[in-house]
Amino acid sequence: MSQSKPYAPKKLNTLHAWVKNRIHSKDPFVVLGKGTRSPHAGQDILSTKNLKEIHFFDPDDMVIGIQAGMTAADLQSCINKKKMFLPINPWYPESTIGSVLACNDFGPSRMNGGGLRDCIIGIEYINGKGELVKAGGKVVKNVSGYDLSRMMLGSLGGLGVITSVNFKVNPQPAGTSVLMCTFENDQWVEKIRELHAKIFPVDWIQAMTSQSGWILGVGFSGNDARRTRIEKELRQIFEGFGQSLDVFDENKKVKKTADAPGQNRFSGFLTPILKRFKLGKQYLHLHAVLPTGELLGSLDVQKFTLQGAQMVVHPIGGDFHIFLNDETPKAQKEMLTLLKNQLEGSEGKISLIKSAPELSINDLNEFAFPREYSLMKAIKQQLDPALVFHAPFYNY
Amino acid sequence: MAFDPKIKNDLIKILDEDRVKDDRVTLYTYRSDALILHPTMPMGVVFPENREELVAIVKLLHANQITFLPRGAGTGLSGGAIPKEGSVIIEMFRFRQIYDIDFANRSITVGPGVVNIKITEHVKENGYCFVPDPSSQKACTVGGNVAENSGGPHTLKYGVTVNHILGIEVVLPDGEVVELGGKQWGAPGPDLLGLFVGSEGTFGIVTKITCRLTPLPEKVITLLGIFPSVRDACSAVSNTIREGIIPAAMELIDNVVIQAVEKTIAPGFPLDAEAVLVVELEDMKDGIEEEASRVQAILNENNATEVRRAKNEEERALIWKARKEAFGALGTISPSYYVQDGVIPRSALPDVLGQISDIAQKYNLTIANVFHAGDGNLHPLILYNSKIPEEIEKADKAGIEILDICVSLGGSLSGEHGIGLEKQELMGTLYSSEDLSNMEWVRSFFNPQNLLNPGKIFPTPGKCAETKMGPQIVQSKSGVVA
Repeated sequence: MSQSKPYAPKKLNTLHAWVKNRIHSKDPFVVLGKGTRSPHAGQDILSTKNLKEIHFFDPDDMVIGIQAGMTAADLQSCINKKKMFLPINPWYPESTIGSVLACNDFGPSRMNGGGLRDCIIGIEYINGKGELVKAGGKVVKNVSGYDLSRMMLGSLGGLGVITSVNFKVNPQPAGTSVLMCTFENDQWVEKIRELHAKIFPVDWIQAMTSQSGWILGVGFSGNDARRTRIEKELRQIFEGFGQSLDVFDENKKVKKTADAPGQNRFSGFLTPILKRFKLGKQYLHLHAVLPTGELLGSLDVQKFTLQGAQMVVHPIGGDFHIFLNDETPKAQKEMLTLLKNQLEGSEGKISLIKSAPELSINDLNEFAFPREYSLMKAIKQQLDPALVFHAPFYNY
Repeated sequence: MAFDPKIKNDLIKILDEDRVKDDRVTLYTYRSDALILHPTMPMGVVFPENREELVAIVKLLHANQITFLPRGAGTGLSGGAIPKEGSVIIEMFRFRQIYDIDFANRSITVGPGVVNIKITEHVKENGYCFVPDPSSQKACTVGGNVAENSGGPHTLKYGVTVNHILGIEVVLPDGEVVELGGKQWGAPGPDLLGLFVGSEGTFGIVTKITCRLTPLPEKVITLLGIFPSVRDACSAVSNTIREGIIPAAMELIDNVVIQAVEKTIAPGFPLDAEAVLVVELEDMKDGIEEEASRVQAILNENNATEVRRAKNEEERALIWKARKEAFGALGTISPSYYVQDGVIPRSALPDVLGQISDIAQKYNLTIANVFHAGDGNLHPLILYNSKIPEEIEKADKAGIEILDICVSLGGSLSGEHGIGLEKQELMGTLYSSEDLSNMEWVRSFFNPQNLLNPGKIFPTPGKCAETKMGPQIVQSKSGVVA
């Protein structure tokens, strides 16, 4: 039996009772937040999007605890009011934080700020026995018991239903700046190699395709003296290359440009990217991770752009996104094949974030699964004995 | 206790006679780690040198249903490497290979027996370091750091061990070898690497570790704030962070410890100061002076009577020597001490330090404090005389009351030492029985027969805090054995 509309209770008790019943009757379901990723056809859906309470927010202690249904955008907005931030920038800001956690989403800020792995300090979830359990806590340093928060990170809804999360948050820096360059081709890769070798403390680096080639953003922060020095060093690397170079300061009036509108440029222009790419309803969104050295050493980005892909690359930290604004399964499968060929022989792994329904995780073959995959499958079998937490990742 | 002759024979076939030991001296040496709590003689100790030998040993012990546990340098403070009676200790100190230094991926792959500080020594000239820096870093092994998810003073800015490990190779309790993580920053699926780090040697035995390397800062400024009260020093910590400044380290040392370190290390701390606060800033050379000026102003605004600045590397090193060797220095003023590792929300520091002082008065004991103030990670050292039974009992009660305060404020039993044998009976104060059984459920996946390092982390069925956390703990945790 499948229901078309997600069941999205407002009370934790109600949700908990529902999950317990499903476990008792061994009736599988899919857990999601707002469903910003590809839909799950043919399964009952439980959504945690209506669990939106803030349990605590103590800026002096740099910690916040929230229910899993709060969106990433609302969370950032809440903590920004107290001049704090969480160094995550998920691709879909309307994603709930439970979903961001379960999918282990991250953006350019991971490079220096760490991903969710470096911010999560506690979790509450419903396990495969139907128990509401906790691990970790609300202090920034804690080694009391197993770190089940991290086990749930990236678990893709297969190990339980995440209901609450505690994070360590950071104070906002004194100021942020971004250097933006445009390039006609992939010449930026060589410049990033140079920057990487200099061991230079920038906050994030993101390259994205544009109508005329590539735009490169390098974010940095700190007080005026620090940013002045970084800007000087960056100019030495990038000036004279590419087509244009601008440095924007968050504390000064920001002019809107076609390349990176408004304030988003300071965090890696994430949402505007999706708008700029003018993506249709069933576009392809692939995400690949590989070691920095391999990305900088051998990734040929032109192979993808020549086939019509739009790209976003985080070269240090080693991940990139491919978007194809073509909804036909054939074109999407061809792009996937191209990516798999590129990653052949590397440690690279791929996640399918959005696609036509004809594509599934099985099309990724071994590229979807890390070396510890058999252990992941086995732990899923142990911790979901009733097989209710439906998650295709574990079925390969 | 000694090996069964047949087991010993089989172990000798895998290793050789010199690396399979069950003589009395060896057993006595390995009866405990740095927590001399419940010392227990192992069945024997084996010394493998590579993964193949380790796998063969584990398979043999597994087949014979013999319990076993790994041990690094034995510097752990929570009893994680204390054997259960009849267990075999697998000494991992010989896994000291440096496999690979990869600056393009900012990583180094090492054996678990490599001493923590050696990693930084290997990469320092190239401008990198390995961040986790527990006070025992001159002796403790990286494998032990992974098992305990160790911290150190510089975790305030950079995070603890789990934030600096990219991948590991592990031998599971049945001898299967698995790899978790790699040189890439994450991969699809649950973060089993993150789960494994800090599992206190109960999931598997690590044989290879890929550590993240962090660029060394261009400049380091070490400030020393001198305060007329501990409360003022605590307020300075909170106010610094409230301003959005995250120093690399903020370490508080109170008057009792000042007296002790002046007798041994003589760093030049004023003997009449109630507290000194070490604040270390690390960054590019541009901009750091402004930040240091602001921190100095905050310390003054919080009633610092003086703020000193280390003029050179020698002065800085002396301050850190005093901080990192403070525990040992207490031996000059007390025959015994009992150290705690509770964590509280940082903003509660001033009040909690006051409450700890009240506890000291209540039991007529001296409690010294030297701790990671920036993280709210307390290390109260309860001074007592282990030859006086009443003092042992009082110190024990004082320790439990301090941890009670930590838990009641939403804090934790341990920030970096682990639970091990030491605090297992208190886990019920932090977690519900369902929370704990859920954790045990996860353990049973990796370690279904509980052959690997049994009797750790979880409360012993049928025992409660009052019965196990008795005076023996305090007596055995004496810094200086009377």
